[in-house]
Order: sequence, then C-alpha cells, then structure tokens
Amino acid sequence: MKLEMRDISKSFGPVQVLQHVDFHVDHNEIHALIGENGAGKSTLMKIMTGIYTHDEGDILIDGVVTQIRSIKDSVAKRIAIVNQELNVFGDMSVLENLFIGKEITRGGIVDTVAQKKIADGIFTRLGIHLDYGTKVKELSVGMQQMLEIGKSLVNDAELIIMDEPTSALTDKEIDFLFAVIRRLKQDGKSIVYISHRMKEIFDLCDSITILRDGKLVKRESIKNITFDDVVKNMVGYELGGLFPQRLQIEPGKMLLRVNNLTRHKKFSDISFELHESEIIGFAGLMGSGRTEIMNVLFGVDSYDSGEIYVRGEKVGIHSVVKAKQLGIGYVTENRKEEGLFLDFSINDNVLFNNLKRLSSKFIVNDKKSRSTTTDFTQQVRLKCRDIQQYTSELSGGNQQKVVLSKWLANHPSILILDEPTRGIDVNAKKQIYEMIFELKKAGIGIIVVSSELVELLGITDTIYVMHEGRLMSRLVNHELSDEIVMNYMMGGSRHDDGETAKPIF
Amino acid sequence: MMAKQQNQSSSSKAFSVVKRFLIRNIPFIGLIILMVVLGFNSRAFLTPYNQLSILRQASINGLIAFGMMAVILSSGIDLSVGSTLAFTSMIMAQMIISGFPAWVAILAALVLGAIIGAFNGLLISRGKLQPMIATLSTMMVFRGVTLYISNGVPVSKLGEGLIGFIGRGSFIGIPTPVYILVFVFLFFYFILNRTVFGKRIYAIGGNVKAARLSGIQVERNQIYVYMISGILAALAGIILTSRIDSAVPTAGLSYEMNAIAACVIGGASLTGGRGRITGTFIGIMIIAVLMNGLNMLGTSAYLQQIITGGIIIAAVIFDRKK
Repeated sequence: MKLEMRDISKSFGPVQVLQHVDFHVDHNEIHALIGENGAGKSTLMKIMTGIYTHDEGDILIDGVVTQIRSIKDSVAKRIAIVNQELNVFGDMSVLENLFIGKEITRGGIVDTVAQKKIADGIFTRLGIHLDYGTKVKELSVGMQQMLEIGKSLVNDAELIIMDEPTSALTDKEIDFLFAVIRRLKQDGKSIVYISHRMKEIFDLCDSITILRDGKLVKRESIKNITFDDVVKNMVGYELGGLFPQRLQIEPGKMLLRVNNLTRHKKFSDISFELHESEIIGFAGLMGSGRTEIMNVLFGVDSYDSGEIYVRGEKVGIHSVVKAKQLGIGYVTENRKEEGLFLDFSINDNVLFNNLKRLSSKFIVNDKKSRSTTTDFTQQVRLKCRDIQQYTSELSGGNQQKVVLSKWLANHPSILILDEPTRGIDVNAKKQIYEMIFELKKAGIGIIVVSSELVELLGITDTIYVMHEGRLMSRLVNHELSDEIVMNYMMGGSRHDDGETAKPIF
Repeated sequence: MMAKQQNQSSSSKAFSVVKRFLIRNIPFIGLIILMVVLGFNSRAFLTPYNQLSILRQASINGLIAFGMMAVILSSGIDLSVGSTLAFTSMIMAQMIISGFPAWVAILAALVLGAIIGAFNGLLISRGKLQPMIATLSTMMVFRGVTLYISNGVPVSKLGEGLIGFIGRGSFIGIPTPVYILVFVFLFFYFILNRTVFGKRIYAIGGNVKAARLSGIQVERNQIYVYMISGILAALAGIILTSRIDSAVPTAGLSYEMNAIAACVIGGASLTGGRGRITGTFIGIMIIAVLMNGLNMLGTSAYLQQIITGGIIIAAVIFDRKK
C-alpha cells in the first residue's frame, strides 16, 4: 500500500500541532518517523488511524483521495497500529485476542475451527508457535507484541504502524521482531516505524521522515543521511543553543553520598555523590533503573542493601515524609499522574505539598498559603490567570512549573528532576533550564534523569550512564559528544572516567 | 458606538456571571424550586412545624451522608453504615436494659462505631481490599451479628432521660436531632475547608499517587475517614433508637444508598476529590423535602423512589456541564 498525506494541518484550540506536513510511505518500505516529544509524531499517527481528524490536507491511498474519519475507517482501509502500550486482553486466550472484534461466527456462535485455520496461516507467516488456549497475560511481552501484529494481519492490514516497538523487549526479542518486520516487508506490507533508538532505525529502515515542532524538516532515504544529520534535524539547533551560559561554580559541601545501593531486580551497586551547586545527570534507556533509584532515594520504594549519607550522616530513607525532612524534593516523570492534582487550583497544589509548613497546629493558614504560592509561582515565571486557576487548564510547560514551585516551597537542598522537560515546548524548556541554573547558583544539588541526551549534555556537570540496572560509567561532562553517551546507552563496553568510547556509528 | 459595545460586553459579562452562579448552585436552586412547588400545592408544607419535622427526619440520613461524604471525597465508599447503625444501637439498647447508665451505653455505641470504621479502614488501606468489597462484607457481617445477638427481636422501652432527649426532646421549640445535625454540619464544614486533615482527604481523593509523593500518609488518613463514617452511623443510630424508643435489628437497611444519593445530588464525584459538604446538606434536604412533600400530597411511596432516582440522573448530567 502506498499512503500519502499531503499538507496536513491540525490544531487543538489555539495550539497548532501539525503545520502543512507531507508524509508518504511506499509499499515494500519500512519508513522511520522520528522527532522529539511534542514534534507531532503521535498526532500524525492518530490521524492515520482515524483517532483524530485533520483540519486541512488530503490523505491518499494508492493515489486515491480517501477519508479516514474513525478507527473503523482506518481498519477498513487496512491500516493497523501496534501501540507502545499493548492493547491485549490478559485474561482472554490467544485465539480470542487475535479475533477480538473480528470474530468469525456461524449462526451467532464463534466458529473457533475457522478461526484456528486462519490463525495457523498467520502464525506460520510470522514464524511463531503459540497454544491458542493460553491466556495472553502468561505470554512474554515480545510474544504479546507478536500477537498484536497477528491481529493486524487478521484485519488484512497493508500498512502497519509500530510505535516504539522495542522499548520493552530483550535483545533476542528485538532480533526476532526485526526478522518478522523484514518478512512483512517482503510480503509487500508497508511499515511505519517510530523509535528513539537511532541504531535500530539505521539497521532496519529504508527511509526516514523527521518532524520538529509540528513541521516536516526532512524526508530522506536512509542511505543518504548520517546520524549527525538526523540529530541536528530532530533537535533543530546546534548543541548548546537551547542552554543558558554554563555556570562555573565550584561544587560546595557534599550533600548526598550513595554507596553500593541495591534493590533486587531493579538496580545494583549504585554509588555516586552529589555536592552543593552541582548538577548530576542519569542517562539510560527506559527501564534501565534510573527512576527506580530516585524512588528509593525519595522513600517511595525500599532498598535491599547499601548506604545513603545525607550531609555526611548515614540515614535510612524509609518514607516520603523522611525524605522531605532531609530536604529532598522530587519532580516525577509523569507530572499528570504523580505530580499534579489536576482538578485542583495552583494554590491547592502548592498547599497539598506543604501542609505542615502552611498551617498552624492543624488549621490551614490560607493567607500564608496564597502568599507562598504567589512567591514561588512568580519565581518560576508561571503564566496563569491567577493562583486559583485549575492546573488542568495549564499548558505542559506551565504545569511543570507548578510542580517545580510546589517543591521549591518546601525549600529543598537536594532536588531530583525526572524527565523535567518531557512533552513541553522549546521556550518552556529554555526557561526550565534557566531555573535549574538559578537553583544551582543558590547552592541546591540537583539530580536530572533524562532520556534526552542533549539535555544532559547541556546542563549537567557529571553524567552517570545506566544500563540494565547498573552504572556503566561516570562521565565528566566537558568534551562529550552525544555519540559517546549514545554508545553507553546502547549497552556499550564499560569505560573509566574520561576515556573516549568508540562511537558505534 | 464604542459605548454601546462596552455596554454590550458588560451586560454579557454580567450574564455570564449569573449563568455561572446558576450552574454552580443547581442543587440549591432545585431545592428552592421544589419547596415553592410543594408550598403552592400543600398549605401545611411550609408551616414552621412541618419544616422542623423535615429537618428532624433529615437528621438521621444527614449524619450518615456527612460521613459518607468524607469517605467518598477520599475516593472510597462505605456500604456498611446501615449495619453499623443497627449493631451499635442494639448493643447500646441491651446495655441500657441491663442497667448501664445511658451515657455509658451511648459512649459505647460511638466507640463501637469508630472501631467498625477502623476495621473497614484497615481492610481497605492495609488489606488492599476495594472499598466496595470491604464494606459490603462488613455490612453483611454486622447485620448478621445484630440479628444473631438480638434473635431478630427489637429491644424496647429504654426509658426517658438522656436517651429519650436525644431523639425525642427539644430545646426552645427545636428538636434535639436538628441541633446535632447542624452542629455536625458546621463541624464538617470547618474540618473539610479549613484544616490540614480536610485538605489531606481532598488530596488523597484527587490523586492518590501525588498525595503519597507529597508525604501524605494515605493509609492512616483512610482509616480516620472510615472511623468518622462509623461514628456518625452510630450517632444516627442513637437518634433513631431514641426516636422510636427501641433498637430494631433491621434498622438502617439501605441507608447507605440514601447517603450516597445525597452526596451525588450535592455534586460529589464518586472518583473522589470533588464535592462540597454544603452540597451534601442540600442533597439530604432535597430527599427529605421530597419525601415529606409527596407524603403531604398523598402520593404513593413508590413514586418517591422513582422521582429520587430521576433526580440523581439529572444531577449527574447537569454536573457534567459545569
């Protein structure tokens, strides 16, 4: 199938998320779609699959203008998607999942014999063997994903969109997935492949489309593009353009020392230090244990062995209350799920995090609460109607600023920022970086966890690279190129401080 | 020209303020309309005597609804209130009959209510049972226990004095239960709007993960909330027992549904974190006024249920438009 999208625009209220984007995939093609968070990938994908309808532009299938206005339409046009979050029904069987919503019936009764016949064919094409009666929750993630691909074949899909398909797979499963994808390509299918992992894109894909800030920046055959080009086009600036002037502040006293910290099955033997006015970064892929370490430092999860020292004193952090008492603040990676009370005002959000500080005895001091909220939201340059505005009405960047202010109001000396700029626009990013530097100037020790390498390179003093629960390396951030860090993230060999790793590209 | 435009915009602004006020206060406006309509149709309805007796009737459901409101705000539910009511008042009545002073028996009932509440809270917060399942079980357990210890027979003739005064007495012409209802309402209003504990309840119901990460001790506060519900169910039971001068083992059947209905009519969200105690009070009054008014008009009791059900649906649909 040949899918063309011409001049596609889409707005949500005043925000234009796609501006005149052209996109096309040929049959027998594996096409990479990449861009940073908020670049418009997922919106484009949702237009393809009929979840959103575009405001302007045309969609052509095999040269014919087509309307895709609902999920039903996209299925009828033989477009399927395998989401990052798999849509399987864990308590139902393999066969039931495969034919969900597409059951073959005879006289109103599901015809499992006919279904099995079709399933046999699909499984042979995919090269997998599964017992039809097995409950899907008993399968590995890799197999569940195969089942999702199988589901799209039940629907006779000609175009399959894969959204970050390898994010939860083991290396072996990835190899198998790639073999399946190549086989699908041979069968004449078109694949749209969305991933952050450059190596995979260069290994697997035939061509690439790069989006940035809702616009198409490049479409190129993979043979004619280099890794550097891709990164440059994706982020849209030379490294550093986004970041404030680096502050040369000597780190002060030691705030935090972690010794051989281990939580079984999550991470092991983690050791690092954090000083006043120091920013350290944690790089690594999703699931490499970065967030899990932070959860332990903040008393959310327990640890099995190792020691934590705060300001030279050995401490046990067994609750959030304790962590807060020690002066630790934690901006979590999911601000909507864990950071904010969305149906509450900005003032309430700050208040809820500082109930003790903003009350006398057990009665809330409203005046103090309002003035504190006003102070700290001004400090982070929050744009809002007033502090009684609901946080659900704010943009991503401003929501993040609310989360920051609610922690700053607690006067932390150690601040953990997990993905501090995820899903927010470039301007807000810039402001957040400036704020982080201001906090550094004020003597706060900051830990930044991020999947965006550029970000870590731009603001941190030291980067710790994690892979599968282990610290692979400690890199002093002065002459780093992103290739070096990328190499570590891909699980490259261990190196000592400063030694240059061999780039894999 | 300019002046005219300004005029227009200010009048449309005023209109939107009025509209906002109306939409925000739909339950209250509904109550007023209901009272006006009933007042036109029945002479006796608007008399002070009748109004007071509505309040008195509302007091039992009202107390339970306030406790339910606290639970719902924390994104829980308490189905056991009716059984708690029956169990605690049965114990109280038996204590009085066997010679304990009334105040000891009353205190015992309240403490028992708190214990049952704490048990619910423990099942939910530490035992990780879903609130619906946990309180459904305790609802059945305590109903069963009540029937078992009483052999299904009411305990009557508890006498006058304190136990008589709580449900049947009055002070300067206003029935005692009305004082209790108003006092508990004001107390709750203060707790939920002004205290740290109140904010914690809202925070837990609003986003439990975020609450936990703010250092709010979710489990402990959940237990408190169910304890409050249990105490208020016991208090409602004391009033009811006093009113009819007997503890009935089947008392309080399906009172939890009335309480939930009052909360929902008053704008509470069953997912937690949203709702006001004033709304619950209005919800209670709507149900009580409806029952009383329809009675006065001589309509069938069955009709009342149909209308209450309809009001809940309407309340939720209107609420979504806010």
